[in-house]
Amino acid sequence: MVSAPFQLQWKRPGAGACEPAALAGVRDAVPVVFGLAPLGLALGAAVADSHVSSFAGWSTSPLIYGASAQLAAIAVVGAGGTIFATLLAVAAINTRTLVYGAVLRPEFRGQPAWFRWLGPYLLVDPLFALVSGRRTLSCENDAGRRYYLGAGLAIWTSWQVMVAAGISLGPVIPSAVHLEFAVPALLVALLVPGVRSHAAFAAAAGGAVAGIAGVALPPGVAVMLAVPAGAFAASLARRWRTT
Amino acid sequence: MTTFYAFALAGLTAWALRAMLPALGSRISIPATIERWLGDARHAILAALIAGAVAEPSGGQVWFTLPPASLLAVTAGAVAASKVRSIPLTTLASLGTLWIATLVLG
Repeated sequence: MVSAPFQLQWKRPGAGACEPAALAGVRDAVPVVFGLAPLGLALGAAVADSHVSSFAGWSTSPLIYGASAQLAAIAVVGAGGTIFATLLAVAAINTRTLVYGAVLRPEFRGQPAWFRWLGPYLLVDPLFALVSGRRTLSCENDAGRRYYLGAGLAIWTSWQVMVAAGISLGPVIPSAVHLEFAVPALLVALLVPGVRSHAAFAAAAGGAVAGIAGVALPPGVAVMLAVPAGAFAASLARRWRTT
Repeated sequence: MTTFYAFALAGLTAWALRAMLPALGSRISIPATIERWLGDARHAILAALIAGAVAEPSGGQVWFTLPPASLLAVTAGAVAASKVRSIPLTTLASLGTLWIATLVLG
């Protein structure tokens, strides 16, 4: 958590001034965009191979905007899950953005209302990583906002293009590649690096058990079972570690 | 059309979660226990989706089956993700292992 409140004030490390902040944001986002390219392309390919139409699948990029939540929504809807199950899956996966909001809340203080409401739409993992590591007390609020928007819009725009490219290229890939497995493969890539404690491992194990148990149940039920199963397993792990 | 409604509502939910605290400022606070559960929920959901994609329902007395080729592919992906923490390499490791395992195991 941020220890002391301050305004939205980011600048590039080592930079003497914050201007031009928007350009600095775009420049800092370039390596992030290159890193995200394979994920966007693979997500697009997974959309092309799913039971959801290509346009509907692509629409998750501007509507939901977030790889794991998009994958979850496509997986649940593609399996015939209900709207409620889709919402639950997306909400549960996006709960970490609540924490991002909590961490960045002091920086948003003092910003115009339109930015406090609309700016967080761009708040995904890479942008959080970018802006939360670029804080300083020496810049003005406007510069911080421009930096955030420059970086956020650069990542957002490239994400839309990459997913569309993946959808177009997906059908060209031969069936021997087992593209249908791209979704679980991507989910593994998103899950494993975040499992850094016994509690996180237990939560994942609880979720996996719920996922297997839900195989023979109506679509989406496993996701609903996973949340309490994961929380229960994680609490047990924490209790076990403290005794 | 239901698909679009589902995605649009999911998008609204995602945005609400991101915007809630920055927009409402200090009027909302999250207890530490809830914050911990939020972190746990993400891992649990992702793991459930992976397990659901790998496991297949079985018509017989067994509840489910876990195809060995898929299990190997997930394991290879998990190892790759923990070692190199790279999304493309993890995907490549999973798909490559599945391709080889399918050729070998049938």
